[in-house]
Amino acid sequence: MKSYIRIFHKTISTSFVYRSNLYMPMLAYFVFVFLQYSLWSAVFALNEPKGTTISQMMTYIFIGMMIRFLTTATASDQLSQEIREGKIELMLIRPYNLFLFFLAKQLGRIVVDFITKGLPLLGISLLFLSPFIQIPYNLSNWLYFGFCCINAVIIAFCMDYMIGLMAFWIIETWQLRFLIQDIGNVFSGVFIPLWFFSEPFLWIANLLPYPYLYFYPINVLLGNVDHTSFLSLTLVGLSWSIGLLVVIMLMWHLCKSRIVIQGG
Amino acid sequence: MIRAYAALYRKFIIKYAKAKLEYKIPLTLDIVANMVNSLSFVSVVYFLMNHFSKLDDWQLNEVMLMFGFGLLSWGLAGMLFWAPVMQLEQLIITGQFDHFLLKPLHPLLHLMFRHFQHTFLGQTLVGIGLLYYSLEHLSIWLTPSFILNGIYLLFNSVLVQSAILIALSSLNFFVKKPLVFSMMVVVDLQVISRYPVSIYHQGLQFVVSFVVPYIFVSYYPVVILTRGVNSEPLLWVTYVIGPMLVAFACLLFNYGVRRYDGAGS
Repeated sequence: MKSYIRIFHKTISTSFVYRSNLYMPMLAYFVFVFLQYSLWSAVFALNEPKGTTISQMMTYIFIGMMIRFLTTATASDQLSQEIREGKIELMLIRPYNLFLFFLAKQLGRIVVDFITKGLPLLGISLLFLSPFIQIPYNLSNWLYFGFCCINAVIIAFCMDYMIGLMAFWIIETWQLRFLIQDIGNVFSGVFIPLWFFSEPFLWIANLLPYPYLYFYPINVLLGNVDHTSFLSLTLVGLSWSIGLLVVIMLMWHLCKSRIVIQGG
Repeated sequence: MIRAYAALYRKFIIKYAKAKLEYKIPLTLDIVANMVNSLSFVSVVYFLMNHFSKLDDWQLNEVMLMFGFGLLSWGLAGMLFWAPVMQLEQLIITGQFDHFLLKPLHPLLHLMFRHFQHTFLGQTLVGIGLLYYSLEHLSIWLTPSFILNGIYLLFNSVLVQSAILIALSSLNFFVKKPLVFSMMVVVDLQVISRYPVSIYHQGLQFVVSFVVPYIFVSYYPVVILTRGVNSEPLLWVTYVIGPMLVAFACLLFNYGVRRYDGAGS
């Protein structure tokens, strides 16, 4: 446990060493949020749809940008590179579990993103967007939101880790990662909330783990989910994270038989 | 001279195709991933328009036509000029760009010839599909003049896109590590500019018309095709802006190359 905390700590401190590398991604994130906001405010200024108000939409974007980096997992990039270059061997002889090592790194990155992107955006949006943002205060909703977020972190990390492990079979994984990311952006509600989906697409989205990453946590905080459906959402969400963990264990079992270490 | 360049480009492309065709699964995945990427942006419009049915008196088909123009021109221009944007940063940092200056071919042409970006086939295919879809549903009589006009405007859009890409790649000579900025422009800003630009507030309209002129790529061509060239003042500028911007971008690139004096290590 101590070593994982150390890794977590090191990930954070190394990101702040090259501080100039942080500014541009920060700006890029601001621009993304700003453009998202421009599009939606323009659309809502033209015609107010049934069921959704502009303040609800702005609150959706606001909460969304605060939790988006919880679910942008990037650990698999390093994992597949290590596999491709054969460095995975070095990682295997070290006294840590590979899965937990990358999880610790991911958690470190979430903290870094929260400090560099989340907090500045929180300040900016409180200055400019505060008349629009209305988060209904309800303790049980907040608690449930917290649970959803933790679950989302696990689901996102597991999916990313699985792509990383795919490098044992397909060598290059970046195309696969982009593919999964793009599908995820649509079905998790990053680009457009699931309120606007037509029936067949909503049905597809509910078969996938993506809404649990982004849409449902936000919706809970907005108060759109009533207490009776908490339980079923929790069960499905939890079973996704547990199922993905089991799949990863099976995959890892197969991977170990594929590793061939030359020489010594 | 053009024939010599064409022969050279053919040789480069054959080599590149041979290399890429060796690995068939990554090749297909490249194209599929890019198709899905374009479709993910299109899906937003689809859901949006399904819900609202109209965006500032633009119908679904017309917005789809804008997306078709945007995607097809992006695909065609990207196949040629994405490689300089993507690679120049690393080439300058590692010092390999100096090799390009020694070759008997202009560095921009060399970068473009050397790496044909096959991944943009995905965007191109989706763009063609969207154009087909929207023209089929649009209630416009397809006269020869309309078709010629459309083809010229599309060509013009490709030129504008290329100019933007060349200008972004020449940023490398003036600032360090501009790739994140370039990605921001071509991903986020470009997607926003494919919607009817008139719906945005004026600051954003100013940016997409004067700072990064994406407005000439998809919005104005579709305005001309569906509403006529006289529907807005100064719309005819669209017809000449493409060649002008390309010339300007090439001058900028040449100026940058002259200014370049190594990575300074």
